[in-house]
Amino acid sequence: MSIYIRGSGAHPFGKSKKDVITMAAEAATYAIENGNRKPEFLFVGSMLDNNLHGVANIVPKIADAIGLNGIYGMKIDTASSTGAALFQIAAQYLAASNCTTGLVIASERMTGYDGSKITSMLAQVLSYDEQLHGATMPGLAALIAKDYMKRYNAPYDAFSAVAIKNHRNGLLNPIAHFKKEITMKDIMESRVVADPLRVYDCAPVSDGAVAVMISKEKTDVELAGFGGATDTVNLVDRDNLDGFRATQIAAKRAYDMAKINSHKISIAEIHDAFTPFELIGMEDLNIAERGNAWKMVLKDETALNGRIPVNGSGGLKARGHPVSVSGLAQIMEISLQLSGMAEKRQVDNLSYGIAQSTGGLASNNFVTILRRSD
Amino acid sequence: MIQFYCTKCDFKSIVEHFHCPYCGSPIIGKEVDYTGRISNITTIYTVPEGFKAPVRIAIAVTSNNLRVLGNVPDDDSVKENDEVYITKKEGRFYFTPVHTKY
Repeated sequence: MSIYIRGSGAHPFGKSKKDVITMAAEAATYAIENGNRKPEFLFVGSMLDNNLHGVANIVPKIADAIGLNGIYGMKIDTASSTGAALFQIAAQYLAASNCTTGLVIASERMTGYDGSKITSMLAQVLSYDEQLHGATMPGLAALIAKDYMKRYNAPYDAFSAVAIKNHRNGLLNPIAHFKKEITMKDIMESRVVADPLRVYDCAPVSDGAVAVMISKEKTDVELAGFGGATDTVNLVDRDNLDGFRATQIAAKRAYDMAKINSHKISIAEIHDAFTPFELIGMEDLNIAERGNAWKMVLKDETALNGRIPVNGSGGLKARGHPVSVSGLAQIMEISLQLSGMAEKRQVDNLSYGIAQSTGGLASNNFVTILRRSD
Repeated sequence: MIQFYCTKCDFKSIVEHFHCPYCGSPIIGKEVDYTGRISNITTIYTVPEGFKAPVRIAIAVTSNNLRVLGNVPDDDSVKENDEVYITKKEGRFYFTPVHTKY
């Protein structure tokens, strides 16, 4: 059974005055217009809609807003990988059902709250024991960053190179939260969030929504393979901190399903919630040798005009990170690239693209491979 | 202090488990003394609600290669590679320098 991407749409990432349902409806309207079909099912993702905004039972609220009363629908939550999980479960539902077309929507509103409040909400994805110690996502990411630096003799400059590259790419993306280039001076003058990570090493808090229409009808872009996997919630329970096992297992499942290896991949979107995570993600996907991703970034091999562009959209770092949406935004970006619709970011001669999304502190990750259909 | 061991595979943890997250086998606890060496340490400046900034967290590794997440004092008395005592109070682990305990 072949599954194709038929259309997509977004509410721009950044600071929005619209609520989570209105943003979802706007993205969905674009996707339905682009896809030119009426969806027969609706899968929705939002991580903070209930806890932060008191919005429960979001599916019929979105269905009402876009005139899809009577549609089959449900909500999925895998924390910050929700967008990717949604896409994968929707593809499986489409394959198993007698439907022809479905719609996947992720929407998140995060801005306008005190930093401590958002930090607490996001820290809820960590284990109870970690939260008890005051650990945060950036705090645990900082411990992993230090481990990477020591283990591979990687300089902090490599993290900065990720941020500079992704901000440069975000400048070309009309939906990006940040459309400005940054310099090493900007980074070094920015606030330390959890040493060694500074503000420019961390993806921002963003509002935004993305909708993607999938179909059994053939289009330019086909789903080639997908996979997901969990890992222990407690960071200290993992065999090692050398990469994320959840990504490694998910990637193997996706490559096996697509019947390809990593050498076929010509573009990647990786969950750079923190700059070192882009490097670790490259290694977990085997598009960089273990311990060598930082060298590739410093040599500009992952720039838009490089050997294998990574986060040409600007990544979470510059496109923005409405948590449940980022995984679906990655898939939309790979789809736009493969169908030649990425405008100023367009990379030529693409065949396969890969999207890697991280849930929690890499405890529920997903990998999705798309290809240009024959 | 209790370390938790899997009865079947090599899994061990400082965090209480009833079943092994890797193979699902039962877990048993064993009373042990704790010292460890700090592998990584960070200072968090944007902290969750209910905490006063900054919060310092670290990972210590025991002699049998068990990793422990804990808090360290908000000064330079504990650094990476230091040997520390690991104590537990109200569910939280604390790392203090070996040379200042007595």
